[in-house]
Amino acid sequence: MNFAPPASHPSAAPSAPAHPTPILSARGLVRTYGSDQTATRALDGVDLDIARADSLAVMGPSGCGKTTLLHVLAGILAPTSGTVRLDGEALAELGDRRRTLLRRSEFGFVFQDGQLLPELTAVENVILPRMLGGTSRRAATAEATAWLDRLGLAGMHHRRPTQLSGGQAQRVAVARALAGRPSVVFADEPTGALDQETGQSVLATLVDACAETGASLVMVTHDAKVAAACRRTVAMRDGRIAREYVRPEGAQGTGDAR
Amino acid sequence: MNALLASAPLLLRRRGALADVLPVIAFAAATAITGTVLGGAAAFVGRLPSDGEVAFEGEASLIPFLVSCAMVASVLLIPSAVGLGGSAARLSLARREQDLASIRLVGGTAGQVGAVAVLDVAAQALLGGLLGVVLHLVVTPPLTALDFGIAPFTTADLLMPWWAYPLLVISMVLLAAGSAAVSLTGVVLSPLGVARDSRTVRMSVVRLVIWAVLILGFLVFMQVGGAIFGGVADGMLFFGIMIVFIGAVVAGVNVVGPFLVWGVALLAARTAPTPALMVGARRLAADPKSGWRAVSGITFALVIAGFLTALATIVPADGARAVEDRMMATAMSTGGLLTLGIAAVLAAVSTGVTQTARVIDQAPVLRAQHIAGAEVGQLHRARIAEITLPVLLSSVLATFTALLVVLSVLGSGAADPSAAVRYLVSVAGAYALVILAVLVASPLVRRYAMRTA
Repeated sequence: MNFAPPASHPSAAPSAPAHPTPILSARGLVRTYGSDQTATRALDGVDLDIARADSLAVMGPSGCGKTTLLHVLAGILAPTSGTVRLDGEALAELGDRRRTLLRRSEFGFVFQDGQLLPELTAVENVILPRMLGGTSRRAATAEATAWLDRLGLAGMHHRRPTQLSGGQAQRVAVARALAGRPSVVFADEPTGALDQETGQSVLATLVDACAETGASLVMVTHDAKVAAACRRTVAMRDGRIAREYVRPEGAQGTGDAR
Repeated sequence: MNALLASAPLLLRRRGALADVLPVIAFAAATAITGTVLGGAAAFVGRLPSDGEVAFEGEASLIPFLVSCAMVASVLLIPSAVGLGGSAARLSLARREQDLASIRLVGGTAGQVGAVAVLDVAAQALLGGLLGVVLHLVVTPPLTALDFGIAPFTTADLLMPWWAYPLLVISMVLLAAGSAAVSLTGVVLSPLGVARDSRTVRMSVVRLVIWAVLILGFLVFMQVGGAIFGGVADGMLFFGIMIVFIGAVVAGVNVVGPFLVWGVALLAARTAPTPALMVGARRLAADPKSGWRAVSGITFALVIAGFLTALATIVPADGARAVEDRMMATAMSTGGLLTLGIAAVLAAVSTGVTQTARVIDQAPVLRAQHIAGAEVGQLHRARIAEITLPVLLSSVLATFTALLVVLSVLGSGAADPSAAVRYLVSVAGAYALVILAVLVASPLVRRYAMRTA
């Protein structure tokens, strides 16, 4: 599948190699839920760098802290201690509004269940974040239409999420995440709710589209086959990074996802 | 079935204070208002001479007309109070959907789950109904201080007979159970969750036709009804049919309202230049009935305000007129304001409850939108857009309905420009009420959007 950026996206970058300068950098991340005797340490001193256009899978069993890590990296959750920097700028020093604007302009999100607005059509779900950022409806629609067509959803632009299959809805979520030309795409179990064949197809779409547009991908999964689609994998246990694996050039693949 | 019912209290354990309290508040308000309105109407009926004698002077000469006015007020208010009860039942059911799916998962059949759901709603209606009766008993003594221009009512006058109270509560419970049962027909309760009918919503044009037929029927009746029925039972038949027609026309606003909301929302969604309007309009187009329910109370209050402003122009306020005229003016003014006040309370409860419920329903989506970069202010603006469209439509419909009815019944009584000013003040009050209802739920939007769990 060719993921050359849509024609209406003149600034789209070609497939970019991993850059040595990290776009996202985390140091000494600790996140504790609760207090006193009920306190649970979800993150316990995590250090992590994510390079531009790189792909990283975060693996581990349930409750190991992988989703908390994704939320802290994306500025959704504040760490109890430690820092996250995007292009050198510490997220913790930004107010909620600045962090919200940052998520809108720099990050894209793909959740397990899509989290599409059920009342909006596919194309409206994709243009919403762009319109929130000030892009006109006409311009946002042109971009969104091109993205949906590229992701195999031509003719389905005006369907609502309930009128799409799970795989189609997840492709809309991918289009929504990428339409804003984010620096980093965060995906939380993006194929977790799909059957194997559909999951494989959606995963290929997500990884290829991120690579083609130069976006870094941070993907949480508990499935080693899904993680194999990324260049790097970190395995978490009890809030820490237990080990890291970097695949040799060309060894990653989505052929047997899930 | 017995085993399932026995385990239902465990499965339907309360989820959160606010989600549980909202339907109970609505049931309580509906019961209290219905009891107070019926008690008031009965108090006027109690003043009718028992021997059927017709008085031509003094207070007794006014009572038949005031009884008629009380009946009109009851016809106008009680359907809205009952409607609030129905809305509360649907709200209660919506709050329980995940619990119902859990019961399916542990082996309950769709029928058993439906029965448990209806019983759950009925239990909340019972609690709300009992609280409503207490509320009615508490507010009744202060109402004796109202000056209707006639001999003051006592608390005993304004209370219903004792047997009416259990009947009122039972009626509320049955209404709630019935509404819940009807709501369940569009829902598939599966072990993996609750699926609403996902067909694209389409409002039938029949709604518009029904309302148009009601309007035409009313206009024709007002032209020829007097000649046909005026002589029957001293005109009481004509008067009775007219009251039924007025009630039907006012109730018809709730039939045509969702159709208009749907049509305008579809147009707005397709062309909305801002994300707030696009999201708000799409939500309305997807569920125009809920969108309309959120403002139906306000629509109704505006219709009442329209009636009142027009009526006020024909009631003599000149001190030189006869004693009976002054009594009548006082009765109409107090009764009208009381009716408007009750309608405003209904509107406030209805709008506040439905607005808060919608925010609770949208909690996961609000959080996802905030994560994806929507500011809390933008989420607020989408909610305001969602409510503004129906409010604008309701203002137009209410004004049209009030003018139509008043001009048909009273002729050109509403020609006084000051009446228009008073009406505009009422419209501004309705908008203030909507803004207040939206603001009441605003802290919830922020809390859900920024929730860390």
